[in-house]
Amino acid sequence: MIVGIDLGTTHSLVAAWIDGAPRLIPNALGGMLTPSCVGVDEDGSILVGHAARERLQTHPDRTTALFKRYMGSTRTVRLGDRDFRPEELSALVLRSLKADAEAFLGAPVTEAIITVPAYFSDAQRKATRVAGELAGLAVERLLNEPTAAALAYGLHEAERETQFLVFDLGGGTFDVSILEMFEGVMEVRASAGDNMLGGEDFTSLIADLAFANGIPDEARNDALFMQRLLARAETAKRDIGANGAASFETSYGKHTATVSLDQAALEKLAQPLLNRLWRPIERALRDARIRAADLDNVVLAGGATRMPIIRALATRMFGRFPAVGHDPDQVVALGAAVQAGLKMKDKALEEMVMTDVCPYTLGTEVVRLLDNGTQAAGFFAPVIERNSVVPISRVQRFSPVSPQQKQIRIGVYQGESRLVRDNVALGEILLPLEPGPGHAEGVDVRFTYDVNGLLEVEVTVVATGVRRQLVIESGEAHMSPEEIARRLAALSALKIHPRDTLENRTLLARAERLYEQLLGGVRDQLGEFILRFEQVLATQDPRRIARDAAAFRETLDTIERDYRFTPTPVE
Amino acid sequence: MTSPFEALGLPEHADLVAVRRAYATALRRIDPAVDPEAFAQLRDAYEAARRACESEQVTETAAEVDTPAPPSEAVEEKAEEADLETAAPTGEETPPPRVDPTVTLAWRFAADVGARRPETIPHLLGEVLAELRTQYIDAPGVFEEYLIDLIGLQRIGHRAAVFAAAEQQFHWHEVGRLASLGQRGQWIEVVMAQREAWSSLAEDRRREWLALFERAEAHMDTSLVRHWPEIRKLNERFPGWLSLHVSGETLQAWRTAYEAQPTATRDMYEKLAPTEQAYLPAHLAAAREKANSRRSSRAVAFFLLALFVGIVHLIGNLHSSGYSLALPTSPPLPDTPRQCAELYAALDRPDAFAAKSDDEVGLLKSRANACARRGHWHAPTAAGTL
Repeated sequence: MIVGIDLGTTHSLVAAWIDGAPRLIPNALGGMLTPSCVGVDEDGSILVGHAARERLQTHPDRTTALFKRYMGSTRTVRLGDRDFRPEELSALVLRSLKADAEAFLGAPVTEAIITVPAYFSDAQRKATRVAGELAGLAVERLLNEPTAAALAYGLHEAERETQFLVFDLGGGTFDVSILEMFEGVMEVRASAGDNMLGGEDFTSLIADLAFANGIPDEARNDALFMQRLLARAETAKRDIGANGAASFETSYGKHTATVSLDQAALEKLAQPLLNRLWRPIERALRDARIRAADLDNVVLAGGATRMPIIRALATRMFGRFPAVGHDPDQVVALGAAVQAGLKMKDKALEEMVMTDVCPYTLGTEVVRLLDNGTQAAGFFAPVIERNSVVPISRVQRFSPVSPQQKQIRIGVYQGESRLVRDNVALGEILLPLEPGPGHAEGVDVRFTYDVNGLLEVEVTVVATGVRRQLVIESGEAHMSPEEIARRLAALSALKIHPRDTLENRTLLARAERLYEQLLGGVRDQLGEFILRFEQVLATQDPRRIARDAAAFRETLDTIERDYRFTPTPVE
Repeated sequence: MTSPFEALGLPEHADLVAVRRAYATALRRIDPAVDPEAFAQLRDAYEAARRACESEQVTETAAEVDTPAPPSEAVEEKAEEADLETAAPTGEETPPPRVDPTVTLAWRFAADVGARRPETIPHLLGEVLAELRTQYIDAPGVFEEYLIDLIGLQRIGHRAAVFAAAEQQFHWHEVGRLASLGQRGQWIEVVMAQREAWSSLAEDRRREWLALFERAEAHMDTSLVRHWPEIRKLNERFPGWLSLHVSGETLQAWRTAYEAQPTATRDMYEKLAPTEQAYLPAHLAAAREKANSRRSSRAVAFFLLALFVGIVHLIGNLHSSGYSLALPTSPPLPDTPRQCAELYAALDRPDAFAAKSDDEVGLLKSRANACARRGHWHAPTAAGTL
């Protein structure tokens, strides 16, 4: 059984193709969304999901989130006494989802389709694949998130000939894809995006208001304060969406700040972020040679598209209301399950085929002759143009600059600028050249881009037949097979919190978080409740634990409802 | 060599619907992840067949419908409409013509720019774009096209600053960006290439010329006339780039003022005009001097980068002159080395330019320049070549 996994910045989901339809798989707590949070408990065991998210506010030094943003980089996070790479943290989330799927399906799960933002770079994709390996999952395919959303959407539209746009604003990334469907073929025409733009950026914008309103800047270094502030900003963001306005108070030492916002104020505040949404959309439309008026529909994906300011913007941009249908939080995971069904050649999907594109231009660095006869280095020569249908392989011939040249350097770059210094360097290949006849013929450079969005580069010297393949320099985010094996062994040695007691552990984490937020009598009372629940857990009597856990949850619900910083409308 | 239609198992001239259906059917039998080569073949055939169908459609439509007015004229018409709208109503009961708000915005921007300082233009353009973005997603693209036309037709002030601001805002430096703008993009590419070549000239000279343009734009006085020969040469080399700094009317007036001078004076001015050597920045001029005097001091080639094969194409483009949306579909082929040699021999004759119109002379000169740039240079025997 292949499962489909949406490995998100804030939440992750797992789904499978079951009985001719995509179906979401619940986690140990019965929910579909598992927070992409990882923490180390006091006893050294690993906590993933809701429990870790609760502990973000009580144990920020032992808990982490948003690591998808560092995928493909060398940045590590210290949890307790161990450093984790983003691949490892993602692997822990994947493992937790794998366990959920195995519990639900009653069979081992070893293969997965994992979704990635369409605009994820080569390094980020490779890191995602490594994360899968570290979690014991063979990654059957890396699927672009907007394409996944389109698959879920297109499942019901297969009869029609249609063009539509997927607007995918997740927690940390923004993607836009334009698709065309005909004769059961779903074809991505163009994709564009912004890797560093998502719902989390709106949250930190709201949190930043606290610093503008009286909290000193040094509080930014206080992890505990920051996590709580971000949690409040997140609540406020949701409340503004639901009620039109929200306000909260926060204090640091003797400093106190009040933040009040309504829809219009948030829109004004977020204008720079909203402006960044335009460019990828404009580019995708241009590349697909489609005017917005020719689109049959606009499909929203990603949790951040729930925000009314985003919906209003999308409506205004396209002059129509976006399609309603799937829950934007779930649509990507459902689409991954459709892809799993396609991969397993399920009968219900016999008629459906999907092709995707490579959203970046890939090329090499060249020297150009200027008008006055001088040479200038640093120009970008595209080999694979962006939005080419994948898989694709292209060869181009390049000549040496000088007849005396003994060596040639092929720099591999990704990006859209005419100058390589503004593009992303992926690596380089050095080849020896031999003087004499055939020297000027230079080299053939072959770029091959596969369906997973992974690049291979091969360079052949025309005269000598010497051949080299791209090796991305180590020291960058790249991990060697040995390194992966070593990390896999280390990860396997980690103790994972047992799945069957995860629910109670989450309840305790939540209670602890509330305890730290409250003051006075309620706080003491809650302390009593926590102590009592811990004693019940110690009895190891399943029936008693289940009964008390239900009561305990109700108590926590009540406290949270009554003592929450309720939104107040702003005039 | 099988035709794309054949590869798809279709008769020649099958329609788009059939092409798509054939592609869809064939695609179901291939797993691109397993057999990328079969997929590549299918894809190439499909894209070629689709292009063939689409171009056929275009010719059919073109045959039916009258040729539409070129965009440059369209923008002028719209401009007049916009002018009408902004003109104060005179009490007549004629309703103002309806104009696309994007066009109105472009004209308002054009009107505003003249009074602004150049450094404020990026901000002004940013504001206009923000306003466009309150409309719909296609609006900035429509505006962009009008703006390029306004720059090309010299209907806007501070063109160099507007061009630079637009380059930033619309990301013209991106790969494939200009291609999506069609002929407008080609023109921008030519201007950018000319700008690049221009910026390799000595900086103090460039500053002097820009100052001259500014003076000429303000008032064509007699002290400027003696500069015409060098300005003329510049205009031959960088017509697009110059058009951002100095208007066509000003250049025309400049030339007229020069031609009004007595022959002796004109000859003196011609002699005073600096040679190309003087345009080069100090280090390049020195290097060229050295290279000319002694060939053995050949620079040692170190590990250099690869050389893009298509450079020639770009340099060929440098010679497209002013703004025109009716650019020829295929640029004239560059001269072969042999043709170059013949050309130079012809130019060396004293009567080379006799009985030739300005346009013909210009063409000969630009061909000769192109030969020189590609290295097919035969040192002229007589003085006075380019």
